[in-house]
Amino acid sequence: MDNGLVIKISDVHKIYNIGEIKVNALRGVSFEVKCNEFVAIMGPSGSGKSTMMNIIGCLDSPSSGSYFLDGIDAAKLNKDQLAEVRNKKIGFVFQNFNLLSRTMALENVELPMMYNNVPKVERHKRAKEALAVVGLAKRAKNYTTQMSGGEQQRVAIARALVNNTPIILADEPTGNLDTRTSVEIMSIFQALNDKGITIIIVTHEHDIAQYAKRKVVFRDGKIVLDESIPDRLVATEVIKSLNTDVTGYR
Amino acid sequence: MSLYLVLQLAFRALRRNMLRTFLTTLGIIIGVASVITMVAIGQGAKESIRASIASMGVNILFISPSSPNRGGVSLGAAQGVSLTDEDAAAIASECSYVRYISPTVQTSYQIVYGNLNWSASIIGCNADYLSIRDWPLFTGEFLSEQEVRTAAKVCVIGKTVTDRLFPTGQDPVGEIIRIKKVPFRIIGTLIPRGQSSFGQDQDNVVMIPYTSAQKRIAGRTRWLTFMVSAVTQDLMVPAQEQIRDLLRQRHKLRPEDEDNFSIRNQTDIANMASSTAQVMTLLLGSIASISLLVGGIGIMNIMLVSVTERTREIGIRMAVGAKEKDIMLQFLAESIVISLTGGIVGIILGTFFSWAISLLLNWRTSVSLSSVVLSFLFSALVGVFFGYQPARKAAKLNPIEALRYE
Repeated sequence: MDNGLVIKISDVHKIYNIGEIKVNALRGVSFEVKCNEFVAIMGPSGSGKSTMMNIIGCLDSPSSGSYFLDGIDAAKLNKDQLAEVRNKKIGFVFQNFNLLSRTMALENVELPMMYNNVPKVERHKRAKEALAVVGLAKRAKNYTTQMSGGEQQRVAIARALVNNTPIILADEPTGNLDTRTSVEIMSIFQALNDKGITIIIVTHEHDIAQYAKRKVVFRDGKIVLDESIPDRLVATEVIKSLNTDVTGYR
Repeated sequence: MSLYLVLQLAFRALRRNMLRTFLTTLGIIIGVASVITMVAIGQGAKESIRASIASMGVNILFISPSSPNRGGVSLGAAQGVSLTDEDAAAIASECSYVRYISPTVQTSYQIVYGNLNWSASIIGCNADYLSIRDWPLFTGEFLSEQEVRTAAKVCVIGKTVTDRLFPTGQDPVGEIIRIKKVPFRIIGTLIPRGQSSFGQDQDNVVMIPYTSAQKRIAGRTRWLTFMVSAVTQDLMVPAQEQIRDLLRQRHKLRPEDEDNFSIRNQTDIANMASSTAQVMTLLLGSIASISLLVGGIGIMNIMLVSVTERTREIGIRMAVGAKEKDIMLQFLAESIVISLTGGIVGIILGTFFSWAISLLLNWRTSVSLSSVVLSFLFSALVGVFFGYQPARKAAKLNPIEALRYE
């Protein structure tokens, strides 16, 4: 990998045509993400962070500028090529989990491998391993609708892991979760980051951003702040302190 | 994605909405079953017509005198040169493709036995007549050549005549019946043949030597017709040609003259009769295909609803790497599974209905392999055709919007 860069975005613009009106969602964004970084993208609504997220996630292409993802020029790919890049390079985690309804956890985790021609036996094995990583080994055969929000999000993380993609992209992963569960999810992300996976999360919660290593703030389609996080929180310790809090209430 | 996986996904998705899947499939089942049943009824009618004509023998030719035309005035059949015994003898000896020939005289008379009487058709013929018509005897024996030559007063009677004149079940062989006051001795009885293709009772028949018919019943004025059997069915046309050439020569016709006789074969008659049934088959089949079409529209409707309903699922699949082709195949597979399942069940049900109809209504039905193969292929085509548009709609979705869809 060139200089350990996973993402290299240079002067990216994105213009949406909504009828007659042109919306400049991104106005010349450049930034780089190195291997094994943990970046929090922040910004108010309309700042362009979701558009940035879609472009990084290869769900959308920039109007101009260049985007290199793990050495691949992703700015000029067609729909099917983008799908292949998504499959091989990026694991997605969404705010509303986006799991298949009325489907077992295991099948959800197997999903990315179905589009990667992984044979059935290996699919099962790898899906079970991924579920074990997020602590749901015993719930593989459960339907996702019978799970709590935190558990569903962990299934989603397992799904993001399973294709061994170098990057996990999480869009407001804790937006629908309570504080304690949020911290648990962040602890999983931190653990994965420690194993060498690059993690990018989009969030508007400052205390969630504190678990990342670096913070990029968007406003009006531009980056206004890009700094490393000085007093980074460690999720496992926060959980411990939460536990003592609970005992304190008793 | 492997085909197996695509099918597995399709079955899983269809199982999730069991009732809906069943109802959609029912549309195709009804369509295919009605096509199969209707075509089977039509085919059956056609076959029964053909079979009853063929029961007379498939390789039979009829030769009859035709009306000569003098100066535009048609003179009527009986007025021209009649077919003679000598013509028959010449055909028998000179036409190599002819196996049997029998001069025939057909008429109808009241026949009397004791105090019973009955109207039956009288066929004057020679000893080969039963061989031509492939009609076995039931009891006794048939007319011999000797009896034909001597215009003997002997006869062979059909089942209906037997039943009417001998209601007590006694053996008719050896009894004497009177035809136009002439006594004829019964020497044999025929096995029943049922109705002809034109609804006539073929068993209401008395067969006598054609010589006796000419001399003792109808008189010399009654012209002869010939019934001929070709050696095989394939040799019908050459046999027809041979006979035509021979008769033209014997009747001393100049090349510009029209034939003063006509030769018709069973196939002509069968084709004429079965063309009606063919029209009926087409009509029934096309009405039934409308229901198959409606079933197809049902699939399309449900697939469109399903695509809208599963927009988010499509978005998720796209996000984790499904290409347009993968999504397209998934939805197409669902509609094809519905239509093929419907097709197979429809074929089974249609075959069952045809069988039930032939059993309960006593209609002849015939489920042909071609109608089965055709409706199977057609139902597959319905699945592809009506599933394509919804599948395309799914594949063309924008993943960002699909993921955001509530």
